[in-house]
Amino acid sequence: MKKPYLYIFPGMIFGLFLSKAEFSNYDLFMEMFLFNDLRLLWTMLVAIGVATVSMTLLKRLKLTSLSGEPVQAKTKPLHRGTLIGGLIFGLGWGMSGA
Amino acid sequence: MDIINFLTDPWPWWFAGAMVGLFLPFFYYLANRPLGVSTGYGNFCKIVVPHTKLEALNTKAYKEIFTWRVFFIIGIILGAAVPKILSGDFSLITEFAKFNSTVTASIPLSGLWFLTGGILLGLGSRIGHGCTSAHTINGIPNFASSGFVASASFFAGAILITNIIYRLIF
Repeated sequence: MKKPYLYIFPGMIFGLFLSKAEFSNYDLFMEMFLFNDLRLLWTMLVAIGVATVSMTLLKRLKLTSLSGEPVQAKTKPLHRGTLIGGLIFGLGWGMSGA
Repeated sequence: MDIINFLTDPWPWWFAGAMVGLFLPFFYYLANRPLGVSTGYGNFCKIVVPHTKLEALNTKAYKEIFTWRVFFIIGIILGAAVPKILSGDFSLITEFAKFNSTVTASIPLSGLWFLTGGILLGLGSRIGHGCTSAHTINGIPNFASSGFVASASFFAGAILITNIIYRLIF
């Protein structure tokens, strides 16, 4: 998918999934960080598990993307900012619950 | 469960989690690029200051302003809001149950609290080169060490501030 404006559609699907998973629910985030109700943690672990299995399959089966190229997973490099930025992000996450 | 309830009510946690998980390979199939949201915030900054000389806003990701990320973020907001609007359930809220029943801050003060939280989210995700999408949803399933470190520090920061507020102060 090359045209930038087309990305509004996968964005809508992602936004729908995130909100249906309650990843926009302040109260539920607080209950998770206070270890009172771990619903969001289980949701996240299921998401990570399903993503790990399906991504591994996608790479093993050498499936190609819509444009016919082999799927290339990319990740961010680890550096000092990962930890420091992550902690600052975490403070904001706990304050805003979103 | 009819289609209206399906779009307006939260989904069972295991189903919603599986859908979020499946979105990752779906997105690689469509776009063949890693899922990421927070880099796009820089694109929105550039809409406001298009001619900035700031080095951080002149990297490869920001050569053009209206990249896929801008539309992806607009889509996320629409995808979450449209079902609510269609069902007539949409309203702008000025309080969150747990925050307002515990902290009992006035609206300007709680606004300042959430604004500060948002600024820290933006700042941290740029220093750490990613948010929960890039690090937790894309990083961990692709076995990136940065994904594990970032996700652990996200939780450390959030658990710290939440317990200070709700267990120590209030």
